[in-house]
Amino acid sequence: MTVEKDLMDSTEKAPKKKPAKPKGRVIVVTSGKGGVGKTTTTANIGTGLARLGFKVVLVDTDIGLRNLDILMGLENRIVYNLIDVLEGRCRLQQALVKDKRLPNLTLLPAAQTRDKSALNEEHMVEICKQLREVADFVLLDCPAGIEQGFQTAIAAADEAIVVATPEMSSVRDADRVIGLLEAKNTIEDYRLVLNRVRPALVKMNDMMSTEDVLEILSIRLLGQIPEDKDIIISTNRGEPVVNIEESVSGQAYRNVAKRIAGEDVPFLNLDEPDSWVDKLKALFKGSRKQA
Amino acid sequence: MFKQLLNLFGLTTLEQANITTNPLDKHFDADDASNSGRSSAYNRLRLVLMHDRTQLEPHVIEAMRDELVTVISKYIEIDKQDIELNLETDPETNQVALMASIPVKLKRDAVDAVKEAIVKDLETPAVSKAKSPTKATAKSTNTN
Repeated sequence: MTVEKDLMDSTEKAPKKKPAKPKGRVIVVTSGKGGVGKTTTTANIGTGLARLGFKVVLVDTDIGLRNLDILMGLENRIVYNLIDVLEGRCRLQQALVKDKRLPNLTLLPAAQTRDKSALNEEHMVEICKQLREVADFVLLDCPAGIEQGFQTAIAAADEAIVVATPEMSSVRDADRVIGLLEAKNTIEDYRLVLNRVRPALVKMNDMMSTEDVLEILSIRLLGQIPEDKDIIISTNRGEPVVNIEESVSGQAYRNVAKRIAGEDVPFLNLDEPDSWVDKLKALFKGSRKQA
Repeated sequence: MFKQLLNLFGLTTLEQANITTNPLDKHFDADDASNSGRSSAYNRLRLVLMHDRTQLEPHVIEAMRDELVTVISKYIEIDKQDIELNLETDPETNQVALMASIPVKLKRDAVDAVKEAIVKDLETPAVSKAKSPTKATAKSTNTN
């Protein structure tokens, strides 16, 4: 971040040299289908970027169904929320909740006692305009569905992260979302995070592979996250899995954060060596098919 | 006796070899893959998304099919029962195309005429063959 700041300072002095983007990037995390890991992805990518030294603000746009605070373990620190800011009950700075560990990471929580109509597209654009002045990355956690809540969340974004799992219903909904993102010409770029990948099942031809999903959706991959019990455990502790060094899914999210920051990181090889149980299963499966 | 034994032995080893490199095994593998949850999910999804993306409901395709039958029947006799109208994707370009397979009914004498034309075509010298108009007719009506 300091390097980036220096770069920005030098461009201000000599603007002809390199027209660097002076403001932070606004990225919406969306999926269409609910329960595929949008909020988990938002929390982990945001924390991952903050770990790299960037100034990050996470915005929960799921008014009435907020959850990002729980995933970040910040539910007890909320005083004001997004709607309070909009309705003038507090300043933007007062509503930003600081992360427990990373001082450059903050959360702008959603209102839990209101509904989606309390937030409209103009509000979103205005809030993001202010946030991108103070942050390198503004991550918007989008509500499920493709109705007004979704349209509101994507209204202010420059980029999108589409989250899907390798299941038919999730991929179908992701395809709808991609269509809507393409129709929105303010979105410059979008990539896929494929969540809950199970390499063992892919190997047995029981589940679509990452390549299958990429081909069907004709989308570029930002990262694949393996199904991992560490995510459940860390979520229960209110700690994004990206902070757990030895976790595979944490590593996958750390890589995603680096890719967003522009680093060229190879994709994780999720194939694990066959356990004897897998081999036995394969044997049984083969004999059953031939019988 | 010894030869017989060797023969027997040779035969069995050959059979064993046959089993391991049996093309049927390959077929089984392919069969397994095409019946797998992975490929059925993949194929079903492709079909669903093609309809989603074109926003064509199955009944719209039905209506289009009926109209096509009416129009084409004006000019040529077709087999109305066996018409297939499907959306397909070119796997390389991802371009969606509407594919129609319309079997053309040929009358008995028409079939004979085609056959005759082919025979005539074969009898003509190779040089004129390529430009032979009878061949062109044979080709265009040879859909049955």
